Amino acid sequence: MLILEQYGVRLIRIQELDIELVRSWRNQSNVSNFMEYKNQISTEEQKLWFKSINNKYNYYFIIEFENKKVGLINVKNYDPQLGFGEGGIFISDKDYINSFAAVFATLCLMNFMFTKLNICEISRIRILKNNERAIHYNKLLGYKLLPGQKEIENQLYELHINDFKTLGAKLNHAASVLNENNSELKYSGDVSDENIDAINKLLTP
Amino acid sequence: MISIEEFTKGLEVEFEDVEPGTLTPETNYKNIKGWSSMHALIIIAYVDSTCNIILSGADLKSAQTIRDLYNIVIEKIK
Repeated sequence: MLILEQYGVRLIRIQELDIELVRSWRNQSNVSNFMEYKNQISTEEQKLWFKSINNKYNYYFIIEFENKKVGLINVKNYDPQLGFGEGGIFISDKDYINSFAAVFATLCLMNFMFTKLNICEISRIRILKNNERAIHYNKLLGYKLLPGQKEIENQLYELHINDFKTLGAKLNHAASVLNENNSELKYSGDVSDENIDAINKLLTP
Repeated sequence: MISIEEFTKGLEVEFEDVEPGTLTPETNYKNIKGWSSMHALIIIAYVDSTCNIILSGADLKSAQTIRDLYNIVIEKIK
């Protein structure tokens, strides 16, 4: 178990008992329409997926905001040699799409990976080229379209730690003034084989 | 005191992806292409850094246009 908290969001690393909830979200049209794989996902496929991501190179978290589970955020395919991970997020609950849940969850996870652990230098994301909302969202965070991606359907964007430090500082400041009493990044959980050493070190009492 | 024109121009710069000259004081800023909570946070950061005023989530909810936002800021400065 790993839990990150900041700005009123709690990011709870998914466990096997959560995967049916995540599957139900992932199969909603407001989520699947913006994914490369749009087919309905079966229970069996979901179990296989969980097996493939339940390790120290993949971190998927349920986003809890205002005591409600509203979406999912992840860093996947973390490469310790390259200091590189692939990000992703969706808000499943339509009532929370325009809330601060997404942006606070994004900052919380990025602050953990980029600043607290200091193990990530580059974050990449893939965005379908018709997903204008996600493109704008991530450009404002500092992500840049990689060369040669313009004509590709599922485009690759990259964020370097230095760009996050500049833009992230501004966004973190605004998030802090909105959340005076809970702007500190907190983490808790158990030491586990499913964590990289740097996370286990933080969790060691 | 920042003018409404400067305020609008400043927001346009902050939003980066917005074509220069497209925002006016009467623009409903929530209709900006790809509007999200990221834009809202950027507005809060911008107003804090340029006017030293903290806007709340409720302020953003109640304002429709950039002029509405500006008026809230002016009220808070008073």
